[in-house]
Parts: sequence; structure tokens; C-alpha cells
Amino acid sequence: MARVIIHVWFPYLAADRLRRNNIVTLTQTLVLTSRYRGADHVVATCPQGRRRGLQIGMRLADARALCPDLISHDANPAADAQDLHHLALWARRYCPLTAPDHGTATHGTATHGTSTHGIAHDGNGIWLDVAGATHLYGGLRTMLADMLHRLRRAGLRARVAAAPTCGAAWALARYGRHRLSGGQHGRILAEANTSPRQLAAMMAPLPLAALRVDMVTCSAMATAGLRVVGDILGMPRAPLASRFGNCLIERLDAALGHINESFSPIAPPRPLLAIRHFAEPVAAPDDINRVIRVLAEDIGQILAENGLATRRLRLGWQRVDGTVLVHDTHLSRPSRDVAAFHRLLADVGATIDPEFGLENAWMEARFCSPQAPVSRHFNEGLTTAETYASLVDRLVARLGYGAVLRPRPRACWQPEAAQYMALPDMEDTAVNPADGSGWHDAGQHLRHSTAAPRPVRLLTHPQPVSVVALLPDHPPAQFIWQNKTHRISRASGPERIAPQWWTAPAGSRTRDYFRLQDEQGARFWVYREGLPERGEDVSWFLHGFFA
Amino acid sequence: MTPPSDNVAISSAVLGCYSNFTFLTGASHPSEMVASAAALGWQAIGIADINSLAGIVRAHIAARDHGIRLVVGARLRPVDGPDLIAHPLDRAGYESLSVLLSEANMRGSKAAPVLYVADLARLSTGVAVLVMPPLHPQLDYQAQLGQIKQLVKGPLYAGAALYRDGADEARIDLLAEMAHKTGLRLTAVADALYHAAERRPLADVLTCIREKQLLDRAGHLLSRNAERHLISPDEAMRRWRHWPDAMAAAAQLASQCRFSMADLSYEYPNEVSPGSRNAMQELEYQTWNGARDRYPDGIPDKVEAYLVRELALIAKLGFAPYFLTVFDMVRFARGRGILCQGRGSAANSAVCYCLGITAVDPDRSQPLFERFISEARGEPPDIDVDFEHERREEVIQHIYAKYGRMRAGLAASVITYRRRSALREVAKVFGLSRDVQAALSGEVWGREKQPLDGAALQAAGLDPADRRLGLVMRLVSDISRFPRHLSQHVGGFVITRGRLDHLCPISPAAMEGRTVIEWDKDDLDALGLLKVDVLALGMLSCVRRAFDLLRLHYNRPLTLASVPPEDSATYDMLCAGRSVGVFQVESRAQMAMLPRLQPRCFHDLVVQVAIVRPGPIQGDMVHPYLRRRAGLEKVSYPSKALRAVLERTLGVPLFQEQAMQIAIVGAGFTGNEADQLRRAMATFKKHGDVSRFREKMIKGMTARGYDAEFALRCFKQIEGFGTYGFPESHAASFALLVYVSAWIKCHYPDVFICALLNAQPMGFYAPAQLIAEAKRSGVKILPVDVSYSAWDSTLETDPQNRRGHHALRLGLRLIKGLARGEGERIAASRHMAGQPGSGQSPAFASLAEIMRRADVSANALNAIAAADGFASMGLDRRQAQWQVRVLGRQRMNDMPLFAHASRRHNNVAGTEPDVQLPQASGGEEVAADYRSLGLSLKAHPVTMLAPPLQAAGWQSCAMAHDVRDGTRLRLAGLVTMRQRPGTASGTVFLTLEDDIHSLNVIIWPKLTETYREALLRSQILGVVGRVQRSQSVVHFIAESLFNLNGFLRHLDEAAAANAKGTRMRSRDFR
Repeated sequence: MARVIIHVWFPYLAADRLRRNNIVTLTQTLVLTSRYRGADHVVATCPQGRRRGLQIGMRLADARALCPDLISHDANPAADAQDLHHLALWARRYCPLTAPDHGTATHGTATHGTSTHGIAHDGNGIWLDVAGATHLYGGLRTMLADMLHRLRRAGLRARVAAAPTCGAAWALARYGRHRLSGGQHGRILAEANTSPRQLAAMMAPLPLAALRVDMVTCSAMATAGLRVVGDILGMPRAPLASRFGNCLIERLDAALGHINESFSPIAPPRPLLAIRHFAEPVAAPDDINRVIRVLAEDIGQILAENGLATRRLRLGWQRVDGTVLVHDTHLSRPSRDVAAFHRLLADVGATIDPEFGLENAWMEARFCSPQAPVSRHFNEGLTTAETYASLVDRLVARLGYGAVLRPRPRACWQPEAAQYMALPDMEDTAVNPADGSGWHDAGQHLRHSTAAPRPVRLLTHPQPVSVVALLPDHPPAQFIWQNKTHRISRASGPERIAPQWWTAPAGSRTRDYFRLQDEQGARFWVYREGLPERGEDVSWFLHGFFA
Repeated sequence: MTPPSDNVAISSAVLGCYSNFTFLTGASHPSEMVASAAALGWQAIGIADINSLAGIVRAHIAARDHGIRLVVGARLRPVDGPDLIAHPLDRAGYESLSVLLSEANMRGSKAAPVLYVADLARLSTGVAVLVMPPLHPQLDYQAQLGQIKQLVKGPLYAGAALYRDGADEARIDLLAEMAHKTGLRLTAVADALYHAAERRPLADVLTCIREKQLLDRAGHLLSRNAERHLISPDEAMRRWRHWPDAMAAAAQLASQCRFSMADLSYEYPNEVSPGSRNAMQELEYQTWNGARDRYPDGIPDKVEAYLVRELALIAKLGFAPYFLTVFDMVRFARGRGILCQGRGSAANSAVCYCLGITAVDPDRSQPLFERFISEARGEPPDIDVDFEHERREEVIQHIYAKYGRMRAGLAASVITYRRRSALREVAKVFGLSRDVQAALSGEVWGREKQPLDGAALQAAGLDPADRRLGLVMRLVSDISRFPRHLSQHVGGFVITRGRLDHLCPISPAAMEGRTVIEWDKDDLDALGLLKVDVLALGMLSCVRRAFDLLRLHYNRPLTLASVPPEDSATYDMLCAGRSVGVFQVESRAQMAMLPRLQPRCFHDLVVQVAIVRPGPIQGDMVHPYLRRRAGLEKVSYPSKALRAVLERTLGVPLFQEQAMQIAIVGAGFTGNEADQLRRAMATFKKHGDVSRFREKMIKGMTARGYDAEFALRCFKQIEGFGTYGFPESHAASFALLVYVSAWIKCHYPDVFICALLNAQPMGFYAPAQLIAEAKRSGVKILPVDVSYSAWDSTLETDPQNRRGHHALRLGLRLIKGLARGEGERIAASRHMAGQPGSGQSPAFASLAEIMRRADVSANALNAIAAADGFASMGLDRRQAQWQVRVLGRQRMNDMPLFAHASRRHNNVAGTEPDVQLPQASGGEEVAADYRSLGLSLKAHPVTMLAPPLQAAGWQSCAMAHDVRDGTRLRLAGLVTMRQRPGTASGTVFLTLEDDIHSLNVIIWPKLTETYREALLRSQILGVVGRVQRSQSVVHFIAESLFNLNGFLRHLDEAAAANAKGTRMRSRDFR
């Protein structure tokens, strides 16, 4: 059977992604840049950019000269590759054999003659081998129309072509000039049994770049006056190969169908899912509990086989009447600990209302990340962090996600801003650049013998106090708080803390903090707001208590 | 105010202040620190930057001006201990400190010197050391104090500072106890990072820049308060009330440090006078010797009188060694055949002419020597010497060989934040996106000079009310002009008698065996240190090449001084504005000025050089001068006194020194004040304190009965000179080069263009325009060819030339992508084969033979093939490239790995089938020539495009020269240059070219936005507009622009479709 290869090209893949994610709007001119030899270069743009004369490979500064209002983002090849991978997976709805075309784009322009001639071309496409699958959609034409329609709805601009060879499909998707329908570009060559001669005729007017040869080769051939595929069709092969490499000849032959070229189709990912169907509907709590344990063991097995650990477990049930119950469980750190899974979900099992019985049950592991296999006895040699994590997990399972928060330090001089509450499984975004990271380190600085300590309890709202103190910077002799007078026996300070000048609202005032001990031995953290030497009004507040 | 005299004890001293020469840490200029300390009432201030004395001269000057004692010092930061502030007590102490810092620089690098605590032992007894404790002293600090006490020979103090971080009391008590146990006095240190509390945001931003951190994430890196500023002595006493001795200790330290920067006395090197003669006798001997050589027919009386007077003055001021030092370099250069010429204030003297330093004959001009070496100013004279840019290195080598790197060093050049760099850094710290940064910095159109205010923000599409943007803008203006790092001056040498590192810390330069000092030329001036500028000038290389060619091909040996003077044919050429390639007067503005000024003598050239400058233009002096010269306006003088000053320039001040003279004669400035004004002019960009002279000058002039408007104009001109000062002596030296280059161009255009091509890159024009100019002069141009071309362009006899000029053979150096070594080997191997380009048989039989004989790569041959350089071998461009390509692969196939691959295809060269390549069209040939050479001798691209352009209604640029003023035309041509001069407030000047003519197009700012795309991207540009003629100068005022790049497809159809397309490079916005 003749092969039918479809190539779908996404000329604005990255731009479309940013637009779909609402990072840019349709009317903005966007470029994606990447740093090359010390300067940002444009590696992708959008249709507006193309219309306004932006070209791939130009420097960002030049691009800005043309479009001063452009928006630039760093290119993200990983995201592009991932998008293509997902698109190839999506395309499996049309046929089982699909693959992303990541290309082998060389960056920038290699200097003349130094690069070897090879298969350097840009990617941003997917391949489909639809031979034998077209009739499912009522023919190739309707299949392509459907494909373009769906892609457009998803906000992806695409050009497609179908041909008997990979090379021809690739070339025609990019360089062919034929409109299929609705503004999307598409080209179909494979419907009638296309002969190699016809194929050659279609390829002849296309530029040599359509053979997936790199820019260096293309420009080298251009200097010899060779510019389109037709120029080399009738030429003797040996001189071409000795000058531009065998690769060129192989590409040409593959595109024309003289030699066979295929792509390696991707394998779909296996869902990390364990299912149990029951011969009889299950309703007894003990049975439910046992099912949960079995599913936990199954999923643990699957995770171990794949070398993965999960942060989300989804437990699903189907009642005999067809209704579905779903329960999600969060873990504070990636895990594949079967016992922990069971422990966390056992409580869930108790809340299930099976009504007339449950038909089947499944457990799915989501948000997985790789984890090396470990062999260890349960609970033996757990680090503090791990026991802490397991405590948090149990609290979360009991109280619900979002009900458990943990305080995190923030490197900030303002006492009230020096900590914040975070979800237990959140990454430590508050890594403190000043002194490494984390809670302990941040405290280290302030716990130092000659550094000003912080109180054990900080009042959320500082409370006004009336104070007797010498200006400008002497500690209070006494203060009255809640109608009680505290005579100060010992004091130290001031510690002067000025507002964060770039965020503080206008009128924020500098504070002088004092550590005070009254005659009863109680210790307070009191501050004066406003600098008397600048002629500001002063007011006093109590902000915390020392042990 | 005068600084407290050395013997008076100091009662209050603020020590340990940083300046912004501790880069990215200190947040105030040294002068701000000092001024602020003086205003607060301190008697002495100690400025100490980390491992450096770079800012100390500025602090010294400020201290002198504000009447406060500067305690000279540096903050040593050893890798294995606490900070140590070293204050020299005397000159010997200063020298040992300077030597120590120099060694630290040598050990590490300028940016990261390496010091150890043990190095303290090398400081002499004349250095007081103040130990700075860490923020949180530990118990081991006391041990460190003990260790340091063992090492330091001079007085030692234990420093302490108050930070108001809540732990001051605990810390000082601890430190006092440690100091007491070690037997040291606790000393109060300010440890100030900035002079006033308002600088705290800037200090935080600098911290973030240094640590490469966002403001929002910097956390405890930032300061918790704004307390690191200077406070008054009374307030300091109050804060230190519990430890009163600490303040007294600081004052005692300051009293001990009697060393002042003024104590550094400079001594001239003593090599200058050999044998028994002393320096002055030697200078007199050499001068009179030189004079006899210069005037073989006897020294004119006028010159003799000058010489006697100048020598007397030099003797009186003791500058003989300086002149001899410069003379030595010039003599060395002359001995090597290196062209050189002096300029600068002292250069325009009869002595310099006789010594051969300059070539401006005092007999024909008026030397201005005395105005510059005035007796009142004890500072050294200033002579800059320009050498051929390719051979300056030899002179520098000579200096190092003669004096050694321990005695000769390059001056530093302080690289400061400009608005754009400041903006980039500050915006990054604030986390602004790259696009906002670009919009702010106006990257696109370079708005460096315009103020960045709300309107500018709005124009950039940003919200002027945004708080963060406001902060960014304020900080940017604070930080700009802050020093960022020290670089080396291009050619300013300091040469000393003793060791250089006794004078100033030195560090290794980028080049092996070179030395850089930490002070820049203003600092050196301020201390009165000798500096000789050894500069490079491209035109001198060109003139030397021209002289060589003249000797070789025309048997006419010439020197700068022996070019026939006052040649009327040369002036005729200049008056017609035909000055392409001529030094200085080849720019568009100069070219437009020439026909208006009509220079007829040397002095006219001096005026011409000086007049097209921002100074006279801003001062609006150009038009009055032109009117007076043309006789349209009566020459009058504001007063009799000023007549003497302004007579030479028809009553209009054009030169820098005239502006100064006006200040003295007209506004009653003293010589010293005028000197300060000159200084302010020179450093106007950096400090901007010219304006304080404004009032004084205008008041002084109106009081003496001058027109207020005239006074203002004079002052504006002085401000203009701030950006580009051009004193008459400079202009005279330059004018000589103008004359010499114009003379050569006029009489030997072949020689001139050949020399210019070989001196590329230089000047205003690309090779294409220079060659077009040569063609206009009737010189025959021969193409680049592997059989005839040398690396440089050469002259070949041309029997057909009516004026007897040679033909110009383009050199291999024009070929893009050909390395010099390979090009020279090809030329050399041709001669080795005994086949000079006779034109009979080709020098090489095959490409493979060239590769073998000249040992060049296939890439080199490919580059020559791309330039169509194998025509003499019967290969056109495509065939040559086709053959080279297989040669390149074959060489690769010599390696075993590739040999297999090639066997598989069985393609041995020679047996391969014939290939019929498509024939290149004429347009393709021209386009390919432009790609490789930047020019084509075959045809001009516009000529090739003329039929389709005409069909579309576009006319050639030549039209503009043949029609009346105001005619409206549709012109098309090749864009060869785009410019947006800073003085033209956004107007773009663009040059359109066709095969014969070029045309200046003026595009007003309002059009630039509308036609941005066409303006920036067009290679072939269509302009609809009007012709503007005044006298013989033609401009074309654009009304609309059209990008006609589409027409290039007629040249090179496929290449135009290609993404890269044909690129006709123009010189844009340089």
C-alpha cells in the first residue's frame, strides 16, 4: 500500500503558546530570543512580526529598531519540545504512528565552510503516517480539514501537507503555496497515486532549503547558482555529493521516494493507574479498606517499576448505579510509600457511602517525579524532615488541604514581614539569598551574641503605649500599657529599622526598637515611630515579648 | 578657608569613610564626602577605599577647596583577617603603602588584589593602622588584634563603629574590653558609606548590583536603616558619650597623620641630558641645532626672537626635561621612519617646530606658546604626540625599554556610569522586564542627550506616575557619573625618575609587561605630574604610505614639512568641496562648509577645522563669521581690548583660548580663574560645574560695557567647548594634515586613494566611495586578481592616463573573509615562482597549485573566488567556487575517516562528470561583488536597476544636481550612510548614491517615526522630496520614503528570495 505521510508545521508554535497562556495579546508583536555570541537574537516571531519585517536570526536590538513596541521573551526550547510531544500524542487520534519533528536547528549562522553539511533544519512540526487510517475520517481531505479545524480552535496556527514521502510532506508543508480551506494552509498530494515523476515536478520549484539541508549548504549552493530543487534534479550526483555531502543526495532521494525514509513513532505514556473490578459489589467498610490497601500496593508497584514517586493520589469508585466518587489526596513530598498511602486513604475509606455497593475502584498517581529506588525498613532511620513530612501528611489528610500551613522565614528587616505562612508542600520560594536559606540560617544572623535578638512572641498589631523617655534616642524610663505602669530597670537599643524605601507607602516612618526589662523582670519589645531629630512626631508602641 | 596647618593638633576627625571609588559599595563621590564633612564642622576626614588610592586625589582637591584636612589612607582588606585602615604619617609611609597595594595588585588583579595580614609587616613605621572589627566580633578577634600588634611597626588603633542595629552597646563594650586587654586605644570610626541619609537607596541598589540580586530578594543584604552617613562632631560626641576616649583617639590619629598629597613632589626622569650638559643646556643645544636644520638659509629674525623668548620661559619654569622627553620619543620615531606630529597647548611653539615635534612653521603662523605656559600656573605643559596608528606600538615599546615598567606607566581612565549603563543595571535590580528596560533606555534611537522626564516616559509608552519607574529614574540620575571601574588611558604615559609605585599604586595592564597607575589625567594634572600622550592617528599612517608611494612611483621624497606650501590648485579643490578622504574636512558638515568658507590660505584651514565643531555651532558663531568673511557684514569689535584677541578671526571667537581671553580681558577673570574655567570646560561632562562661572562672566562683561547677548553667546560657546574643546594649536596641527592630505589628493589622486585604501578602516568613507572618487579623478581601477594583487592595493603603470597617473590595482585586503597571513603568502609565492604579474601567462596553473605553493586553506581560495579574483586564470566566479569547494572536501578526505566515505561515492577529482552551472546574470555578478568586496567595478547596482526603477517612475540621484532649487523629485538610490548626529536633535542624514553621484538627504525627525521601516531597512531607497540648493551645496529634503529593496530581485532574483538576501552594507549611525 502506498504511504501517506502528513506533516503539520506550526510556524508560530512559541508565539501561539504565549498567546494561549494570555501572556501576550493578539495585537502585540512578539519575538522570542536566545542569547548567541553575547547578543540576543530573534529565534521566533509572530505573524505581525513577520509582516513588520522581523526575521529569524536578526539581533533583538535591530528588531527593536524596526518595532519599538515589541514584546520579547526568552525562547524556551524545552517548552517547544514538550508542546510538540503533546501534539504528537494528540495526533494519535488520527493514526497510531505519529512523531514530533524537533528539527536539528543549528543556532545562528555558522561561518562559511566550517560547518559540516548535514541535516540541520528547524523543527516545530509533527509527522503522521496515516496510511490505512484515512477512511476512518471519510478520506484524507476531510481528515486534514478536521485536523486544521481542531488546531485552529486550540489557537494554533498550522500548515499541513500530505505526500507519499516524509521529505515531500515536510517540504510542501513549509514551502508549498496552496490553500486548502479557511485560511489554513494545507496541501494534499497523496490522494491519487502520485508517481515519482509527479512528485519531482511538485518539488522542483521549491527552494533547496526544502530538502532539510542547513543554511550553510544552501548558501554555498546559491553561490554556484543552485537555488531550487529543480536545479539539482538533473545534475550528476557525484560532483554534488563531493561538494555538499552525501546527505544532500540522500535527502533528495528520500523526498522523491527513491529511498525509504521513516520516522520513529512515539509511544504513548502508560497511565499510572491501578484498577480493581469486583465480582460482587463491595459495600462493607472492611472490604473497602482492603480494596484501598490492594490498590495502594498496586500503585506502589507501578510507581516502583517506573522509578517514580507521586505527590497526588486520586482514588475513584463506581457505584452500581454508575455514579462515580473521586477523592484526591495531597502529599507534602513525593513518595511511593505503600503504607503511607494506605494510612492516608484509610480515613477516606471510612467516609465512603457505597449505597448499594461499589462496582469497581481505581487509584491513579498524579504529579509524579522521578525517584531512585530505595530499600529500607519502614520508619527506620527516617530523618527529621521525613518524620515531619509524614506528620504533615497525616494532618493534611485529617484536616484537608489548605487547612495546614507552616511558617516560613523571609529575609526582611521589618519584623512583621519577616515570616509568612505557606502551604506545606510548597517549594521553599523564600530561600534567603543573604545567608543561604531557610529558617535556621535566617535566625542565625540575628541570634548572634552581638546582634539584636527578636522576641519570642510578636504582636500582630503593635499596641500603643505611653512612654516617658528622653529624646532623641534614650530608652524609655517607664511605659504604660493597658493601664499598667512598667518601670524599666534595664534597657538596650535602639535598633533603628527604616521602612523599605522602594515599597513603603508615603509617610512610613523609621522605628527605633528597644529591649526593656521592667522591675518585675518581664521583658518587652517597644518601639518609637518617627525621628525626633528630623522634627517628626513620635509615638510609641509595644510590639512583642521576650521570654 | 585654609586647611588646618600641619602642626596644629586636630580636635575632631571623622575616619573610615568610603567613597564611590570603592566600586559598588561607596555611594558618594569623594568630593561630596569631603564637602559634607567640612560643612558639618569636622576638622579632618579620613577617606579610605578598599585596597585602592584611586579616589584620593579628588578627595585631596576637595579638601583643599573646603579647608579641611584630608587624612590620606586606604582600607586594606586582607583575605585572612579583618579590614585595616592604613594612614601614612609621612612620605616614606605613603611610599610603603603604595608599594604594598601595588604588590597586592600584582599578586591578584586590578579588580581583585590579594593581601594577607602578614603583609602588614612590610608597612614602614610611618603608617598608622586602624583595625576595623567585623560586624559581629567573636572571641578570636582578640587573638587577631594581638597578631596584628606584633606585625605593625607604626601606631596601632582598635577601631569601632556605631550602626544603630540594636547591638551597639554590647559590641562596643566587648571591643573596648578586647582593645584594653591588647593594650590598644579604642578609636571611633564613622564607617560611612555615603555623605547623607538620602543616599541609602543608592547604597542598597549598589549592593544589589554588586551581588547580582533583585531588590525584592536581597533581604538582609540590604541595610536596615539609613545610618551609614556622616554626622556632626557634636552628635558624634553625644553618641560616643559612654566611650569619650574613642573620639579623642580618632583626633589623635588624625593629628599624627601629617602626610598630604601635596607632599608628593614630582621629579623628571634624568635620562634626558647625556654627558656634561644639564637639561636646559641640552634643550638649547638641540633647539638651535634643529633650527639650523629647519632654516638652512638662516633662521628668520622673527623665529629667532620667538626661540629666545620661549627658551627663557622654559628655563624659568624648569620644563626643559619635559620637552626633552617628548623630543626623545619624536627622535626615536623619526629614526624608525614613523610619522608623528605634536599637538596640544605647548606644541604650537617655535621650540617644538625646531625640535621636530610639530611641522607648523612659526615663520608662517603665530605661535601661541605663552598663552599656555603661563608663569602663574605651576603646572606642566601639555603636548600630545600623534603617531601612525599601526606603528605607535613601537614607540610604546621604546618607552618601556628606556625607562622600564617600574618607572613608566599608563594613566588610568575612570570609566563612569553613563545613563544607559546605569539604567540597565538599576532596572535589572528593580526587576523591570527587558522590554521596559529597552523602552526606558531608548535603545532604539539612542536618546542619550535628551532629559528622561515624564514626557519621555510617556513617549516610550510607560506610565510616568509609576512609583517604581520614578525611583528608577531618580537613582539613575544619582548613579550616573559614578565611577564603575578603572580602565587604561589610550596613551597617557607617566614617567618618573624614581620608582613609579612610590608615587601611586600600580597594577599590571592587560598587556604583558605593562603597568597602569590608579589615577586618571585630571588627577595627574591636579598633582602636577608629567604626562605625555602617545596617541595613534590613522591619517598619519595614510600619509606615510602616500609618501612611500610617491617616492617609489614618482621619485618624489617628501616629509610633512616639505610638502609645497600654499598651493592654489589644492585650495581650488577644497573650495569646490571635493574633499572625500581628506583629513578632518571630509565629513558632510565640513564638506558643506568648504564652499562657503572658501579657504585660500593655511590660516583659513585652521579656521575651517575649528569652526565645524559643537563649540562654535552651539555658540552660534559660525554664521557671523561666514557673513563677515563674505563681506556681507562689517567687521567690528566689541571693544578695543578685545580687538587684539579677536582680530585673527574677524571679531568672532572661534577658538578655545579666545574664549578664555574674553573671560580675562572682557569679564575681568584673573589668570587663575580663567584656568579654573578651562578646567571646568574640559571636565564639563563629568562634573557640570561650569554654570557657576556663568553668572560671573556675564556680570563681568556687562559691567565692562559689553552687550549681554554677546556675553551669553560667548559663554554658550565655552559650554560647547566643554564637549569638544578645540584650541587653535590643535586646529593648527590638524590643519597641516588637512593641507598635506589635500595636496596629495589634488596632485596624486592615485597615490592618495591607494594609501587610504591600505590604511582602512579609517575616515568617513567606505572603499566603494573612495574608489568612486578615484574614478572621478580619472584614475583607472583594476580588479582584485590572484595573479596581480598584493595584500595591499598597489599602483601599476597606466600608459593611457593623460595626466600620467598610475592605475590602481585593488589589493587582496579588500576581500571579506581572507586572512592577512594567507593573502600575503599568496602574493609572496607568486614572486617566488619568478612570475611577476606580467599579464602574459597566469602566475598559477591551477587552484590546487596555489593551495600547495602558498600553503593556504580552501577557505582562503573560496574567499578569493567569491571576489571573482581568478579571472586571469580563466575561471569565472561560479566555476572557481565550484572547484574550490571540491578542493576543500578533498583535503578533508585526506584523513582516513573521510577517505572511506569518498571511496563509497568514487568521486576522485578529475574523473568527475562535467557540470553545467547556470550562468550568472550581470546583476548577480554585481550583487556578489558587493557581498565580497563591498563594491563592484563591473557596474553600479543602481545602474543595473535603472530600467525597472525608471519604469516605476523613480529617477537617478544625478537629477538633483541639475535642477533648480525647490524642484520636487522622486529619486532612488543606494543607501551608503545613515547618520543621526547628537547635535541635530533627531534629524537623520542619509547618503544616496548612484554610479556617479551621491546625494545628501535630510530627514526631519517627524518623518523618522512614520518611515522607520524604510529608513532603517532600505538598501535601495526611494525618496520623494525637494531639492535645496545654496551656493553649490545640494541637499534633498525628504517628504516621504519608500523601501525599494524589492527591486533588488532584478539584480539577483534567487538571492532576494533567500532569507538573507543581498546586503549592500551602509555605514549606519556610527
